Amino acid sequence: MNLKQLKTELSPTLKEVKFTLKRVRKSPLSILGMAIITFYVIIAVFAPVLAPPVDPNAPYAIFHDGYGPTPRPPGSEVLDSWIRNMGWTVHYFGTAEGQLDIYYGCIWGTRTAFRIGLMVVVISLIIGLLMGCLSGYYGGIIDEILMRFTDIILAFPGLILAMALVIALPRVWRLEIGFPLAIIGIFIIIMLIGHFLKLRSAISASLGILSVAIFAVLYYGVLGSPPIYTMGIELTDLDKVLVALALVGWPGYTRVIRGEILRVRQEDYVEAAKAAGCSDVRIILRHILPNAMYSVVIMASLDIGSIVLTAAALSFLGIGAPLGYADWGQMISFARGWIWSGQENPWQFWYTFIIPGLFIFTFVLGWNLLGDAFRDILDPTLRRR
Amino acid sequence: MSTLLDIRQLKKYYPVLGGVFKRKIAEVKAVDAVDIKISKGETFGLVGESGCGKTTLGKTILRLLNPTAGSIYFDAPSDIMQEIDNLEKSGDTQKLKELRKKYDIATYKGAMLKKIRRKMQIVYQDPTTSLNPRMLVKDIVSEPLIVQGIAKGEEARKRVLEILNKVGLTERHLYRYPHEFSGGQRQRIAVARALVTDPEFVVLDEPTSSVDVSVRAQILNLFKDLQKDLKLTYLFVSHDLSVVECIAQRVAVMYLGKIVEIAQTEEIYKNPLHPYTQALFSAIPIPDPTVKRRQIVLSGEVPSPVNPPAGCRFHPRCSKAMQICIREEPELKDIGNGHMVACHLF
Amino acid sequence: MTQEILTIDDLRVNFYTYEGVVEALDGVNLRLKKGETLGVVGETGCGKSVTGLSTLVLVPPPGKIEGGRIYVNVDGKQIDLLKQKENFLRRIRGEDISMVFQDPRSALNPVYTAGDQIIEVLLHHRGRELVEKAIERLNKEIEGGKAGFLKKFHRKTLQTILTNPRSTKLKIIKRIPLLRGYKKIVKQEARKEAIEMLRAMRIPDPERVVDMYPHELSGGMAQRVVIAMALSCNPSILIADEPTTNLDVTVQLQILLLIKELKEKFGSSIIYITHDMGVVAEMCDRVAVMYAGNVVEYGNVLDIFKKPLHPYTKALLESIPRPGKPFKSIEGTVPSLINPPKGCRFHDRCTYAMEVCTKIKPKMIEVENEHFVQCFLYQSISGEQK
Repeated sequence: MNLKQLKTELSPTLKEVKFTLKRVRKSPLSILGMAIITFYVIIAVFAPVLAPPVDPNAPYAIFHDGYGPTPRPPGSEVLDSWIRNMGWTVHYFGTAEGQLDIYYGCIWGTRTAFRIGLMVVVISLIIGLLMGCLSGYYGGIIDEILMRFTDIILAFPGLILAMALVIALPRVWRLEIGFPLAIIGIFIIIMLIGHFLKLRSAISASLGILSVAIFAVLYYGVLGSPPIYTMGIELTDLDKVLVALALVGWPGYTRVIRGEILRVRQEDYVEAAKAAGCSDVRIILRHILPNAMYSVVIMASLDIGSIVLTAAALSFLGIGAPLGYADWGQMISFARGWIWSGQENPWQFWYTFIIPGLFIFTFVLGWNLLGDAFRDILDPTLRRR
Repeated sequence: MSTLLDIRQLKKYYPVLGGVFKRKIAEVKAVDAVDIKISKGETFGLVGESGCGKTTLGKTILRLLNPTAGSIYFDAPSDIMQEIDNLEKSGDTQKLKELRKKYDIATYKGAMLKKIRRKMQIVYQDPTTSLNPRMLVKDIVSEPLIVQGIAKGEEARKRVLEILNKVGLTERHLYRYPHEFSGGQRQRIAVARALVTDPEFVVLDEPTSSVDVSVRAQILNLFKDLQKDLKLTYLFVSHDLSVVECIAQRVAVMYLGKIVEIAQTEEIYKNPLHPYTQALFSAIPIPDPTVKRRQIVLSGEVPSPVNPPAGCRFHPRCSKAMQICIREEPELKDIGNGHMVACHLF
Repeated sequence: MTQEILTIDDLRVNFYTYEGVVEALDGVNLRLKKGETLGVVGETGCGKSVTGLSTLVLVPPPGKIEGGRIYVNVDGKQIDLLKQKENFLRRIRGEDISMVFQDPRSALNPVYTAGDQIIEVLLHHRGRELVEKAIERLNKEIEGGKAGFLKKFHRKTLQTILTNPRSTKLKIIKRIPLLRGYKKIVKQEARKEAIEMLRAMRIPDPERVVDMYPHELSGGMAQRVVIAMALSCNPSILIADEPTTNLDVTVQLQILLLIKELKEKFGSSIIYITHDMGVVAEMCDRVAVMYAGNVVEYGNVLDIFKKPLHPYTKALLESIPRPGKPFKSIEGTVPSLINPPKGCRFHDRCTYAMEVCTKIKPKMIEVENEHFVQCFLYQSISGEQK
């Protein structure tokens, strides 16, 4: 038997996947969760087909059929001829204030929801992993400093901090990154030269610092600090929400990862790896992280749902996606004036908030169920092994 | 037989921190001034009860823990050791320091330490926790090779297969996860991992305690065969005295961080001298209902190593304690035939 | 003939796991005689712990008792435990049958002191006795003139408990702070009793130990506390599931001697579950050898050690390491109980295996006086002795 045959025949990863799927199949709630998320993924992927954009350059801008303030119920006809030409004949879910089509907003809002949820979680995860790893593995004073910093962030009420950050982050962020880049560049060049000349790293490092110091003195003293390279990062409102939520979310991950790392660090196989001569980095990446990751993965999947909710809350409060943007929270914020505005039938304009609300509700529910399913599957103590 | 390991006055203390500023208020003397010589190719048994420090001693020798004081001379030629003996007596610290830097692995750091790790390895008690559950067997066993830079890729795979065959496993086991194996097989994988870098010295930390009785014999036979085949030296740490009796050539008994008796196996089991050793061996249940023997029941429990009793550490529980036992700690003395005891009775 | 105090007949237990159905016990037969120590020996996975738990009908899910009978002598009658309701079983557990587990640290609740845990058992099972003792004490105090109105009231309350435990007056009094002081008095009696139990366990300084938390106790002491809990209500049957496996060998000796002493004092019958043949030789009068969910051999301890009949028993005794002799192991591994081998479950590792062993499961027959074995070497296919 050659190697390839062996690999495919007895592939253990496949066996793992098969076993996991069997577990999932037996739990109806996790199937429901997966079904919901799959449904939303399909909607997100096929958004251009399900709701062809009226303006192909700005697909996230919900088209508005006129400018009338009063929402129109589901089934109303599209009046604007230009929009009719693009293929829209009827407002499936009705229109919201300003005649924005609810159906269009909900379909494209799916993409927004995924974007927010996944990006925030990924960024929080990365920061959290980094800080948690350093904290958990090295302990001591590093642990103390990082944990106190995390505590400070956690002391702020999350939503309020996110709001503050969204407002505080500038529209266009101008960064003068020329000077720092130059310093790093000089240092690296000197280190490389030193490496090629086979100098001791300590010597090249000292030379590097020396040259950096000289450059700094020249830059400030002689030349009077001219700008070298300025970069402007443009942040849309939604990006600001993203960044804010990520900055508020990472402490949770840090703590969980740190706890897991503390637990895994004392396992025998970690010590055995040390006995073989593994470096710290290798131990963290190959031994500790793969075993510590699972609680964080579960936490992340549960979080996606709650992030979307928070983003919706921010949009509802007016801080977040701009007017007319395809975002579920945005659409509910539109409906604010129409939830009950004194008419005899309070449910007259139900479609303005119930339909987007349903989308949010089921999306979050799906992720929660999926997160529970992950936990049941991935939790090593609950598995049969 | 030449000496592979010459351990002198090895100490491992843990500070107990307390108070508001977490200062050191006491010390746990897990290993307290231990002297042992282990010869090449022998199986040296280290027995004692929980808390005596035997596992700590094993791990400190391997530099998995950093010694607080003392020396571990690994594979130093006998003339060098002779010189070290002389230098210790004469007090020439400069020359001694040089020699220690070269031969005393307790002083090794960085690259030298990494290199010496190749030659000494450990097999843990519980194979379930000593193998990374998320790594394939082939990765677990090949890791030491890759890390030490001995081999990689195809060559590493060849070497892994070789060692797996030696422990009784086959190619089919390469691409599996540890949990797919039984306890005995997992222990074999752990042994393979320990032996893949061709070490000279292996610490076996209670390797058969987590394994069934019927499989125990298989593992012990494996150890014996491997020792002959690969010329290994073992430090067999165990609390299972009946197993140690069958596999070790010499046995040392530890109590509260100190060695109380060392002798050839047959000698120490037939004629234990230290009162603790006598009580320990008499407590082993004998699998024969017709044999009744006198059992020495010790009163009380093993005291905590934070505050060991003054003088001889065993004196509060010793039926033969004398006045001097409360004041002075006994030295480990050779009373003939290589039988060493630390007791004021001798 | 000594009376049988516990009889297990054809006990079958299955575990329903994701992997499949694990047939943990496949028709286990055991008899425990009054006043004897029965050793149940076997390796990991043979089902000895499950047997112990089944006797208390405490098999945890996904396990389920699928068949068989467990007869116990309660108040002179033979009762099948498997047919009883939970209320009845709760009365039996701790009072007539008690269990001591392997790991003392996990058998004790870490947030309650040792004393509290013993008191809990005492109050549950010997409540009446303690209330009577409390009344006696109160009587003495009242007669001695040292008691005020409150104590007299408590005495009244305690008497009501004895005569009419469900009265509404009691329900009201239970909720009024001062008036519920009677509970404390009963607890004090229980505490005295607990201290006496600890003293009987040869724990030094029991007044101090009774207030200690489990994490402050050493392994040996914790195990003594667990034994104290188990014996506090003087059960007629004690099931000890590897109580000394996690302990040091000198501490093990202390505990074994303690168990022997207590057996004399309390007159209990003990089922001692272990995998250590040395302990069996020390402690047991009769031995049952288990393999893969079956009792394969059963007899008195001398017969089992000196005249083992079943090939597994023989192999087990041979695999005990002896100095100077090479190590003998048993080829192969314990079979998976999810799809257990047909016929005798040991046949694939047995040096004497025959054709019939792969097809039919042998019955348990008595080969000599009180020495039973389940093997075709000693019986024909129909079950007659050869």
